[in-house]
Amino acid sequence: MTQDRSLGRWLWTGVRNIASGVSDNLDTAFNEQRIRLAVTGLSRSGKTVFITSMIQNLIALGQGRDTLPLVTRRLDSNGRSRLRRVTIDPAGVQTIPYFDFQTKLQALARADASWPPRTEDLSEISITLEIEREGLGQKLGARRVRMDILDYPGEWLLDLPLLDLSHAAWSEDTLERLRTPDMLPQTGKFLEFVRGLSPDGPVDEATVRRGHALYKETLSALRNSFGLRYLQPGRFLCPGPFGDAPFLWFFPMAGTDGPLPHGSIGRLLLDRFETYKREIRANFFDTYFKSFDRQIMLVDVLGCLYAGKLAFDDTAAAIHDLAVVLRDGWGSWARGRRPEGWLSDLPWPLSLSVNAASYVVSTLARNKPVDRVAFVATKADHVPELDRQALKSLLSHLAKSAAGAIEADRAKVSYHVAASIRSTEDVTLQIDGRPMRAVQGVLTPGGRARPFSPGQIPAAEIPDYFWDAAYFELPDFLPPRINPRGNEGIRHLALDEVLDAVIGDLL
Amino acid sequence: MKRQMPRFLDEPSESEPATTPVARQPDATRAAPVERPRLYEPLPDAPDAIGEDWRPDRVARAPKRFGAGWVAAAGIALVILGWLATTVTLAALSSYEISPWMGHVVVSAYALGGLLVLVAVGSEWRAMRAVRQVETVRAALRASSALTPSDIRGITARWLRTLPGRLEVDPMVLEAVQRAESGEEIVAVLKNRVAPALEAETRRIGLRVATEGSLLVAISPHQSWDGIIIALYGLRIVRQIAVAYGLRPTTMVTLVLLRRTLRMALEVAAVQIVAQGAGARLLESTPVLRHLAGTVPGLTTAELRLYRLAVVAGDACNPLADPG
Repeated sequence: MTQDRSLGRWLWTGVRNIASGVSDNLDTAFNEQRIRLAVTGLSRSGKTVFITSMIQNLIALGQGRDTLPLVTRRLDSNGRSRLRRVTIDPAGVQTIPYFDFQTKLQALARADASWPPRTEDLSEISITLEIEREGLGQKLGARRVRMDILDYPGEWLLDLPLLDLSHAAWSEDTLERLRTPDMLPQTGKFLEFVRGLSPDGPVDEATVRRGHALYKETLSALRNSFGLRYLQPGRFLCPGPFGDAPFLWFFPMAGTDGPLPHGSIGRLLLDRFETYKREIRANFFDTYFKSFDRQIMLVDVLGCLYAGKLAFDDTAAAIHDLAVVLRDGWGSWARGRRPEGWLSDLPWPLSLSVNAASYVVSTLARNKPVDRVAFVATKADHVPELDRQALKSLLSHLAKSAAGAIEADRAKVSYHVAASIRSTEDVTLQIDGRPMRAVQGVLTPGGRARPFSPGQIPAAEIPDYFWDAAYFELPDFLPPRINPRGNEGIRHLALDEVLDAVIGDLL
Repeated sequence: MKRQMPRFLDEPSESEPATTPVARQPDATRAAPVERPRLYEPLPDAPDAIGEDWRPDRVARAPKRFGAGWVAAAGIALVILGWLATTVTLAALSSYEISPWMGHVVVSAYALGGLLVLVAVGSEWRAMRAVRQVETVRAALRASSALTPSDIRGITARWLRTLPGRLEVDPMVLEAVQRAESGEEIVAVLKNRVAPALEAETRRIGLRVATEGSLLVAISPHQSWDGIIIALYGLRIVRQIAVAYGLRPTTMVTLVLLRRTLRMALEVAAVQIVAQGAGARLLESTPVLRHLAGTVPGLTTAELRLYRLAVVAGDACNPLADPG
């Protein structure tokens, strides 16, 4: 009897699973549009806060609060919103850690609220917008727009341009950069160490580890002293699941381009470098960066502007390199760089045929390039309203060369100034009897709001004399009071403008 | 913010007197001739919190649209109600034409009938509200990560208080729910300390009614009665389970619960096919069972069908039951 019941249950479960699978697939094909949204940006550009605020404001919008006016306008139909609801998809069986939205929101909503710490590992979250159709489609019921959003440490992204380089080329670029006169106080020790090494010399594990440790210290010092972000390899500053695995123990060294004897330091560094590239490609880029439909590139323009010329140029270079690499989507980029392997060893008529077939297949299966790219200058709530246009112009100047490359692929590029969470308000100060525009925000819990003037923000090319002044660290104003229930959203600045530009056409 | 108008500095403006511009000496800390970022001391009226005025407006939502089926149903209902109202009115008027007393009697009878219908509708509405509460708890527990713990606490506590007699929840459980700090913790408390009692109650009712039903099937004089007995006992199971979970088994509630157990009907059918196949094989090979089967035909299948119906009816009433 028990066996009969088990068999019956097994049969019924099988039939039901098949029926449910068919039904789900049909429903998805007719009613669901799925997009992968890449929220990219260098470290500390505010990706985690951006994602948290975006989700919370969309949920509040789904609950009937006009938290994102431009998105509301998109969804308007005869004065009423077509958005039925916004839900966070429950965690399924994906291998990526789940973006713990609730915990992050509650940390921001606490009485002693604080900004999220540095992201140490990647995580993903999906949200679904249920939207009424328009016109004759109304009879078909609501459709769904599902967005998969990935959060990850900004440092990891900087390894993307590195994948194209050999150890010799990377070392040459890096060492040249480290020799910049302004950096020498931080980089001198490592440069001196590496100068005393020969790539042909025998491997001494202690020396290699010392070189690796010195290089890591140098990167940390450059990040902390100059506010630099374009520091490679990214896993040296944020190792993630690799921890301190031996293949990470390498550093830049000149002279690794020629033939290197087996058992030499140069050979070991080169092997570890290639292993590093292979690992990050297999465990991060190939796995999670396969294809993106829309891209939001967050840039802390103010932070790098105040950190000095070095930091500003560093950020500009990073944005350019990343935007160019990501413009076609990672899948397209990766195919163009696939190693030839055994195919190249075939006799020429055969290899020609196989290559031709491979070309046709890859062309047919080509990833759709990124449709829309939004460059966003974050932390714009530190700038009074009238100066935000200058910040926007500066951002477009900064991203100009990268955007040109993207636009050539017919992607729609837009520039925005925004604050995912707006923690200031505009005020007018009287300085020496003259009115001055500023913003004010609370710096310490229980304290009173302090005015902040961002000074003059250049709108385009920055003259050299601008960099003469002492560096300045952007004040960290506390987040405003946030209702964790979600029905009022989070106070923001122009987040709706960004979303309208990136996903407006899907609504 | 007041707009600063362009003017020559040696000419007075509305708010400021004329000043004589003086060339400033370069500041050692501000070498560049540009205005640098700077933090100032708080203004006299500086607030201690920012964003207190953030209250987004409400958005009007598009009304839910009704399909052609609903429109047709509404039309049919309107026709029936119109016909009923016309008939009642004409009948009352005709009665008054016979005699005023006759009219009063007829109107009173109609009014009493109408009142009873209203009472029944009210009763159905309250019963349906209890069913909806079960669905609310189920939805809240499924989306526990998207709701705040206080919301889930409120929803589950309201439901727990509706559980009757035998299933009445230990105050310690209510306290544990109130103390829980996350939605996941509340779900864990309910699954560990409430769900077992609910499932045990379902099994108890299922076994009792299934045994009664299968015995009736065993002693029924003709096979054609079996289906009727099973159907009646199926209905009885659904109603008893609803009562056990604190729901009022009114007509609408019974229909809703029966609809939810529609999948169960399919499951019972699948089990029946398998049970019949396996049972036939077993009976052919076992002489004792072949003899018993002759005396109590259909016993195992009927019992199984009723028991499974009880389990799924219990799942329909129990927000803690795992779907599928």
